[in-house]
Amino acid sequence: MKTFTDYEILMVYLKECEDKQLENDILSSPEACIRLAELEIEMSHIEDNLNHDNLVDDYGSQLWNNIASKLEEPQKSNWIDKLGHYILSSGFSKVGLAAVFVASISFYFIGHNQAELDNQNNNNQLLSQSMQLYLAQTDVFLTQVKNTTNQSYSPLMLTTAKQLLSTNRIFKAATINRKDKQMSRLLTEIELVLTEFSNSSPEQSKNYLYDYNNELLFKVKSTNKQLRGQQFKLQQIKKQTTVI
Amino acid sequence: MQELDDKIIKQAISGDKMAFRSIVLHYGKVINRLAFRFTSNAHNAEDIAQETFIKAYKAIGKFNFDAKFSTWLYRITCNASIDYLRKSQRHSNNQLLDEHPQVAEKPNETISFGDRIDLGRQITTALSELSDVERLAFTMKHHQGYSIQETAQVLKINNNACKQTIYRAVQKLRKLLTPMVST
Repeated sequence: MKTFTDYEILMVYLKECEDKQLENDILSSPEACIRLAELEIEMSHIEDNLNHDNLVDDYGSQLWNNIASKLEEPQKSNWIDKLGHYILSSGFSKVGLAAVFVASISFYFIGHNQAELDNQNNNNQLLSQSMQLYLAQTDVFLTQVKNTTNQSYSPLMLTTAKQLLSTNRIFKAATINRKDKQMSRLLTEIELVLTEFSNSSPEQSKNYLYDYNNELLFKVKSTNKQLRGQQFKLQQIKKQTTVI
Repeated sequence: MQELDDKIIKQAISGDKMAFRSIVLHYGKVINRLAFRFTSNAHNAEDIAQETFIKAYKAIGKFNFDAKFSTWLYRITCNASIDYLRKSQRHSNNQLLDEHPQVAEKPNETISFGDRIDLGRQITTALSELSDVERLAFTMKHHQGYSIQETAQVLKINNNACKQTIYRAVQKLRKLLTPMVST
């Protein structure tokens, strides 16, 4: 009867035996199977009993307190993020919309004069950030429209719609110029809803908005999320490039 | 162990420090325990757990959900443990991850393998008798489920040497523990 070494049995136990014939021989030998079973029992004893349970219940909390001060501060938000935050937190303020308007005009011209700029990627990134702000603002607006039950829209909402419409047209021109068909299509849909909203009473536009609003809201949210994802990846690449 | 919600991990990736805090609270103990298995020393395990989360915080942007988050974190723990042990060896002027057991780390030498201490403690002591590389290789393969090839790559040794190292570790552990586990 063939005898097997401890090493061979261990390799079978670890499923790392390269010789399949040897493995079959071991598994078909009663003596080797007993040794394999003994090894398994001992290994499971080790696995089951090797616990380091002297840790206190709120160990995670203590660990956090120890490392929190050592963690590098996340990148401070740039002025566009701050602007975005300001616009979103101030509701439908005219200042916020004006900021989006100014930003969109700036980036539209940046989009027009790309040849004059050294770094095209930076321009794309800036335009994308600006677009995110606009979509976030549109998202908030459409949500408010969806939840409006009044007989008539407030004058502030109508003003907002008109201003969003102006901004939308500028972005649309920029996206057509950049041959971004997907974004252009979305902006066209937003434009239709905003135009309908600006020129109709709630009763007239209710059905139209009801049909389109939910779907459009979803598109706006998902596109914005997509833009953020792209933005994040670009930032990561930029970071890595800077490190290199 | 139960995985943390992807949403929290995504928030942490986007720079949310409080989301990262949730990660630390959730995985803190398990990472400490793993580091303890790698080092057999509670103080070292604490240092490695801290180092692991600091490294994870810096690198979390690179996590792309290809694997489970815990797997990614375990890999960092493993590398942090190796780095830590190498640094410790360097400080004590020894060869990096040498084959000799770290006698200085042997816990509670006065306690023999008798009835006074429980099996878990005895196993911990037995593990501390192994050399660093034996303990790392054994834990990676047996506890973490790495393949021989992966273990060998991480430890920067060849596959055969890795198998021999694990074999030596198992033989030592069996020699130390068989009288106890068979009773």
